[in-house]
Amino acid sequence: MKEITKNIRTEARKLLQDERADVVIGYEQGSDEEVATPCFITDVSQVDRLMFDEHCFHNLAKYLVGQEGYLTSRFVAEDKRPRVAMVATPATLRSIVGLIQEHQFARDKLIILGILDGTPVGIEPDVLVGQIEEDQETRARIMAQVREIEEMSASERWAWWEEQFSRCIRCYACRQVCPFCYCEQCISDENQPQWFGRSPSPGNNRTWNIIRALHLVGRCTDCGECDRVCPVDIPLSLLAVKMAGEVEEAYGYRAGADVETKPALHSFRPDDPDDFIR
Amino acid sequence: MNVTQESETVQTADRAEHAEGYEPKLVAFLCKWCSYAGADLAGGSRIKYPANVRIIRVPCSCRIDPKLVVKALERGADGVLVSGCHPGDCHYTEGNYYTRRRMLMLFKLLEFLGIDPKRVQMSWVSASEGPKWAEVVEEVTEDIKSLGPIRT
Repeated sequence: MKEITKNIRTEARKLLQDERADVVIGYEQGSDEEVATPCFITDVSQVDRLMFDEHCFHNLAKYLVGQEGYLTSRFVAEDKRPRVAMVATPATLRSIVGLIQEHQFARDKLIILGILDGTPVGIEPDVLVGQIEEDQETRARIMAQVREIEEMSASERWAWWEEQFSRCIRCYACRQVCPFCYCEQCISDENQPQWFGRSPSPGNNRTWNIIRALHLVGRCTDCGECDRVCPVDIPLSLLAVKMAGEVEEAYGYRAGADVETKPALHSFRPDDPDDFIR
Repeated sequence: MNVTQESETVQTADRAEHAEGYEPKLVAFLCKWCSYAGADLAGGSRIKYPANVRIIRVPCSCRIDPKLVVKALERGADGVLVSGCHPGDCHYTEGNYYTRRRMLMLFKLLEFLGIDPKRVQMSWVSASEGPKWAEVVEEVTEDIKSLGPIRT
């Protein structure tokens, strides 16, 4: 980890000194030892704020896109946008791949300081700043839980999810943190027509969570940020992992695995499975 | 009336119906070029099929955003049927291929959340398949009848 921090600082210094980047997005120490927080370095003198340790799990790809994103901001003219360099963990890298696939920005608009863990990421970082270990534990835990739910009866599953969704306070933290929720106007903010009410109620919560999950099918790269930020601990990762599995099984597609392919629901094959159709 | 209140009224009505001779509400989204014409043919040929189905015509099955299906269920439909042209017959060449992928994913998600997969179904019905349309509606209505009103 010390090595990675050192590499990040060296690279960031070079990028800013040579004026190849206007801003380096990375992590810095948060309010205490156990907390890291995203930071934006625009000046060489500030480079030593950058660091990397096991608390640096935030998906930074979020800062690139959307109305206020560095690379797609609607408030800054295209030629005035800063050149961005980004410290990217494997989860961030996969999201970047997904965003390039969706034509949010071109690969050459971003300088990637990549950190890999041996899992495929579908993109070559410009600079490899370090290697970390793969977090297999979290993944195994989520997979086990998905299987547990699959084995329940339909009414048990319904009751289980109703209980989860009933806690939702509609803070939209899951939406705000997700790099793939970059719509200028979210369906939840539309009121002509209003697809579901904004106040927390069982029906509204259920509809919001179903639609959110649907919008991410075949796009979600399973970084787990929605799960992490949810203030009432709704296990949104379960939906993500379940649907990623279904997409892979039906269409052999993995989100964030290849810049060249089209996302699963933006493409088709004439021989796609259709045994569910009458 | 806000959304929740309204759907609660619908539910109460549904539960009451279930007690005596329950008739499910089935919402069908039909593509204008094939399935809607097929349903029209069924009507024109005086083929009988259950009146439980409420047909909504859409320009192409690809127009059927999963949110339409979710909203129909949320607002009191006991089942939803999505129907379009057979693969290769889409008026817009490939719309129904996208629908096929999207709907499979919707169905899988709803199943995972505990909605019986029989409540949301899909069919290919061409403009010449009037009898098939009647058959599909009959079968889907039976399926939903056996499941009873949706829990919302």
